[in-house]
Amino acid sequence: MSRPTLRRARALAAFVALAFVFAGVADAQRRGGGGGGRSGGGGFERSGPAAHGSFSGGGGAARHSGEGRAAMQQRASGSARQGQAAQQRGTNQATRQQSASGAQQSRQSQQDANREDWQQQQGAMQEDRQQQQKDMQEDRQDAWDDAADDYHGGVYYGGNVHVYDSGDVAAATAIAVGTAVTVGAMQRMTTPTASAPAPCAMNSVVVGDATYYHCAPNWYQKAYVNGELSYVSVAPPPGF
Amino acid sequence: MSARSNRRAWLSGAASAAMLLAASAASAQPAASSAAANAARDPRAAAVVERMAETLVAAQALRVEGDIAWDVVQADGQTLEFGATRELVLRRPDRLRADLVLREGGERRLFYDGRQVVLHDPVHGVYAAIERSGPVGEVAAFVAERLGIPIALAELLSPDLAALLSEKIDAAHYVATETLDGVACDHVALRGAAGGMQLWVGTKDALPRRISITYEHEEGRPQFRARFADWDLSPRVPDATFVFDPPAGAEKIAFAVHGAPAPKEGPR
Repeated sequence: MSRPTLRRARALAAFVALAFVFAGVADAQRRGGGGGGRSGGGGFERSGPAAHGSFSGGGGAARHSGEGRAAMQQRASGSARQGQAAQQRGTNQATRQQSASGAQQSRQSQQDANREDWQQQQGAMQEDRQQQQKDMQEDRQDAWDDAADDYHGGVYYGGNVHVYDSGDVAAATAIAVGTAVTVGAMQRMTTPTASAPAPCAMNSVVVGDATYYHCAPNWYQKAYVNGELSYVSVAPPPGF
Repeated sequence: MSARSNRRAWLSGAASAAMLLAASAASAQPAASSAAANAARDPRAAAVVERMAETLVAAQALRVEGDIAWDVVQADGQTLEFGATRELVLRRPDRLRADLVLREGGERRLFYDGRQVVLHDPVHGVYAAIERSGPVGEVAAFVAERLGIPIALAELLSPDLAALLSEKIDAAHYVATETLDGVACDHVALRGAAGGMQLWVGTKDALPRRISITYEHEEGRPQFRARFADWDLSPRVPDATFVFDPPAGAEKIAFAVHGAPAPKEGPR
């Protein structure tokens, strides 16, 4: 088998299983309602790190915007942890030095000091590990929240999402760049509450082959954003 | 490196099944860990993974059904399980169909017919299509990376998969021979920076029966689980299976595409 053929075969083999776990997340997120699918019916979270079936610790499309930040935060956190580790090493060294000076005392005192040292070190290391775990969890949660906040605000990927007017990406014209609102969020925007009217009423207009949705003053078209059905902000259709 | 040795290297990285490993966010694994990883790779476990990969590669077409489930840790600490059933049909080199039905309702269907990728949501009555051609593996990577549709571990479709896996996998062990749904399976445990994965591979047919991934560093240690059933490596699949025929009244929408427009690509 030639190398290119082999490579394709491997990719296919991998894809067999990979494709099998595709897309469940986006659906789960979509069904989770608005806000990027962070919560759904009954107030339960329906998506999380494990929903992606990924060994990366839970990346996934809905978190793309947070990935850069997450990576940076992880790096920053890693640096912080390195600092903590260095500090811990310094502490350990100081402790060892204290132990060395304790060697001038009686053997019993030495043993007691060593035991206390060891216990202190173990305690400090345990605390350090727990703090690192906590830091990592907070970092991940922060990244997740940042991504979700972006989504809630309708700002998506800082303008890196492109929606085209045709399936031929190379030849198509971008009709929208940068903003999207989930179906769930849009439903909330267009649904009155007991205490307040809806921020806007949704109307649709068909122009040519395209359907535009008007939630004054903004115009939208539906699109799949990360596999999630969304409303993407667009320019008003001709004549409106 | 010869193709054979290259394949060996790839598989020794706990490989194709280990397709499910890797690509940890901690992408900067210390190089020193590679040596340790090699030492921790049980040859028997690697052989199971290799045989499974060879079996899948040899199949020119396949159909498989299964169930996936994932844990979601709630704010109060309780872990809930959500899931879906799905059916996958693949015909090499460039045909794919995947149908998903969520336990809570909701469906989505992915079509790839060698000319375009279509994502159809029959519940909301919408679909999006985008032109694409080429091997299904490359198209899958496009779907994951540019369309953002979460094909789990799509990064493993990288041509550099061997190196990637070699870096990411810390250990592979053979656990035991176990019986799942009346089928004798080899139970293999793989481990990477993000957590651990378990594979149950049929001892006779070398097909994966169950996969479990534990996110050990996430709060509550949630799991992703997939159970495969009804493997058919010689299905009769008509072309129409892969071709999307828009239902009456379905609204065509767009895909949001990440990044700058890609040059139009033909078959490779």
